[in-house]
Amino acid sequence: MKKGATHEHKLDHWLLTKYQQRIFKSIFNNCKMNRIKRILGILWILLAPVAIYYLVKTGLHEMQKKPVIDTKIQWMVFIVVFIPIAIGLIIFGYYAWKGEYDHLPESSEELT
Amino acid sequence: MNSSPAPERGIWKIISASSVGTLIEWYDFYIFGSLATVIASQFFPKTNPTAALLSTLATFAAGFIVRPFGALVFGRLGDLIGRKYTFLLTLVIMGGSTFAIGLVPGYERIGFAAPLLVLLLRLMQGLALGGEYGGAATYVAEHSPPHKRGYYTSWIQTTATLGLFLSLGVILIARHSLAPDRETSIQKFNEWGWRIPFWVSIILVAVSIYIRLKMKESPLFARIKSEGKISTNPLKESFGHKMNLKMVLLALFGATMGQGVVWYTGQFYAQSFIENVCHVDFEQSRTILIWSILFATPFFILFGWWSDKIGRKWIMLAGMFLAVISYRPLFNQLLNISDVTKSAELGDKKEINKKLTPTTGGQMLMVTTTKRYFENGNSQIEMKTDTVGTSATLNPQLKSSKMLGQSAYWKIVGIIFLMILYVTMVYGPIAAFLVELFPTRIRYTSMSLPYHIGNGIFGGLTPFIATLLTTIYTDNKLVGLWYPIIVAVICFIIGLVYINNKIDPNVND
Repeated sequence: MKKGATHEHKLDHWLLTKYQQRIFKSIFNNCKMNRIKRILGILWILLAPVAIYYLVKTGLHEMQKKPVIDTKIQWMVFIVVFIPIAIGLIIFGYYAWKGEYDHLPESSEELT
Repeated sequence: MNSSPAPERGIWKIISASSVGTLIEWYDFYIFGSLATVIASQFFPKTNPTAALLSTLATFAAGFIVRPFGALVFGRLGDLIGRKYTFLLTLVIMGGSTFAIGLVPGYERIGFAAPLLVLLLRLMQGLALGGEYGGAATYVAEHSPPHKRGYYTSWIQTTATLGLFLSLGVILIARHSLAPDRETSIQKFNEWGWRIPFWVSIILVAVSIYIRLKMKESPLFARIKSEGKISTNPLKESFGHKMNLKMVLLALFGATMGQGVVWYTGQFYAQSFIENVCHVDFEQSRTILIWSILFATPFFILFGWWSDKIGRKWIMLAGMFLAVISYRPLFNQLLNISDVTKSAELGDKKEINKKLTPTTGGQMLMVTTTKRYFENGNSQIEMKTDTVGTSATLNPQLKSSKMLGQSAYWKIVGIIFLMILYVTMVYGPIAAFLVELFPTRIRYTSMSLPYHIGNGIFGGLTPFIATLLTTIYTDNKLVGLWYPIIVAVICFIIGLVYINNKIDPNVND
């Protein structure tokens, strides 16, 4: 601040500094949030195969323990249905890890 | 082409026409589930392994797993030919299938064709439901002004719960009105009266088709159609383009997955729990649900309206969070309240009745009914069925059910109400949330798929998976809750971190 600046100038300068601080803080928070989004992406990628491994292991164990048609159908259905969903979770995690969710589209032009 | 929102008076016509049809579709879908035991005895005799296989498929896979496929088929149609004709078509398919289930002769008359026909019709029901909801929600949202989109679409959200309410009501009325004597009436209902709720559907559907035929196409769809901007391949656009696919995945993992498990735990697993784990009487468990639904339904509207003010995200996430932290204590309370051993028995009131009935095989059946009363107002009925007088005896069967006293009954209504309140939080704003994620040209397809994977697969399988867990880990009655809790926790974290709370003011794009 220059010597002899008026009261209005001082106020302007103070407000500008506050505004800049807020922008910097927002950018910093955004960066922090984006980093969390990306790190969690790895978790989602890993979670999907773990869930399918547990599902298949339990299913096989239960089918061996109770080898009736109802048990087999139930577990087969679970496994067949949840595998594509787990693949979807891996894709979601991959997109998150790559930063695709750092900015969400705000209009349809960004989507199509 | 005018694509501005409908005037206030016109919007209520649109909402009621859309809601009535969606409500009827839910009614049709639920009566099959509510009458699964009766239907199984009529069409799927356990003695025939193929019929038993079809039974499992019909109740298990067809109803829920086929829904995402319906979302793809009819979503695509809705984005190609328009919302109005597509959800008119789903209504006709749903109504026709439901009515036809009520006409199919039993296994004893036409043999193997009976379960096959029922399975086919159940598949049609699942497909139609998969196409209906997205159409109705899109249609209403595309007529709504931006600041009231959550409020107006929340009326569509009430229909799923009211459809269950209607189905329970019609079934209970039919069960008790076929003969003056209660037991004869139930017997008649099990023989042929179960068909009535299916036949009632055709009247409801006819009225709804008449109303929907008078509706106009969505103004936004009509505009893009007149401008030649409709999608030529909505499936490819929705799931083949990375920008859209990532939003579909976000909608599924950050919203509908958790919403689905909260919904099906609160409304379906809770009812199955009080009936099969707490052993509360068949009719009491249903009237408990009816009261809870009745008290909770207005909250769909409240949370839909509120989401217009503060955004969709936090209301939905709050519902998931509350469900995650309170499910175990709430279900534990259900066990405690219905536990008759926690109160002293009124020994002088104990009633024992014995009844001998001849069977067709020349044996005599002894049915011993013991009714015990407890200080807290609850009572317990035990029915023991045994053969007497012959050497070839059947295994004695013991059935037990509890009648809750006034205080316990209303406490359980309160707990189920609370769980349905969470449903209203996660489900009330979700139609507006999904509509705002996708552009008009692929909206029907894009929003229907995550909705029906979340609700049909994650949600619809909740009662099955939860019950299955209790058969694996038999010493823990609450173990089934880990499935909805884990799914809701994952969805909550994804929603919290990745979803934006911003309300899209413009869905006209």
